[in-house]
Amino acid sequence: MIRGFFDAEARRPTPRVRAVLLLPDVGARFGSIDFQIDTGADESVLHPADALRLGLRIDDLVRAYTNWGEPSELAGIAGRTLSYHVTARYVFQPDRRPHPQQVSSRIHIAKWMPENDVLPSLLGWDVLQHFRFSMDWASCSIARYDQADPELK
Amino acid sequence: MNETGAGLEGLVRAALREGAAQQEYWDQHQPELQRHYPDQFVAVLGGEVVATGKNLPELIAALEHADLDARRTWLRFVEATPRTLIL
Repeated sequence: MIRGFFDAEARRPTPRVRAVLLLPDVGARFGSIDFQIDTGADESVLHPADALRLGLRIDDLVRAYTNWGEPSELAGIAGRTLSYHVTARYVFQPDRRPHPQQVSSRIHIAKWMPENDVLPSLLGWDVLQHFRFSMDWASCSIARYDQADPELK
Repeated sequence: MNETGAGLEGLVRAALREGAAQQEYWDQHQPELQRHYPDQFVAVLGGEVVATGKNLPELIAALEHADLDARRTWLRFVEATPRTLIL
């Protein structure tokens, strides 16, 4: 089981899960990110505040690295934004297992705009599909299970 | 999905520990940060606020002015004015 948490500062329940994000094509950068679990997101997104924590610069998030390719367009409730879709590995630490588990996928690195300064990074269905997860605000617990998890049996 | 090698595991554990330490700091200091730096980004190093900014470029400029690397700091937007997110 991978245990998540609710952000204590949020006014409403904000489910988060901590993962180490590795970006092999972006200078092999890695770091711990508290992703917001977003069941409305098709794919995961790294927003600028977290990208900076991985060592990217604002300029990188505007001009992009040459190997990031062309930006793709993401549509959300507030409109459209541009992002770079790069290879990513998400590493989680399960509660009762000695070894971390990883999911190989991709992530959208959002192009910096003043409007997305404060947005959290989102964990979407490209990663969520690998797990069954439960969120219970009453007990303040979030748990994610993969299919081999003994607690599911 | 598979399990990682031993070398990577050490890095992952260290990064997760760092993430947990950051969260503990934010949880403990949120009230005072809201009082002193409402609706601003803050950068924390060694438990002290070392730079602030109304937006990320301003924060980064402040860090560069202080000759500090953003990667070594903990960054956070200190929300004081409630905002509604619909993602």
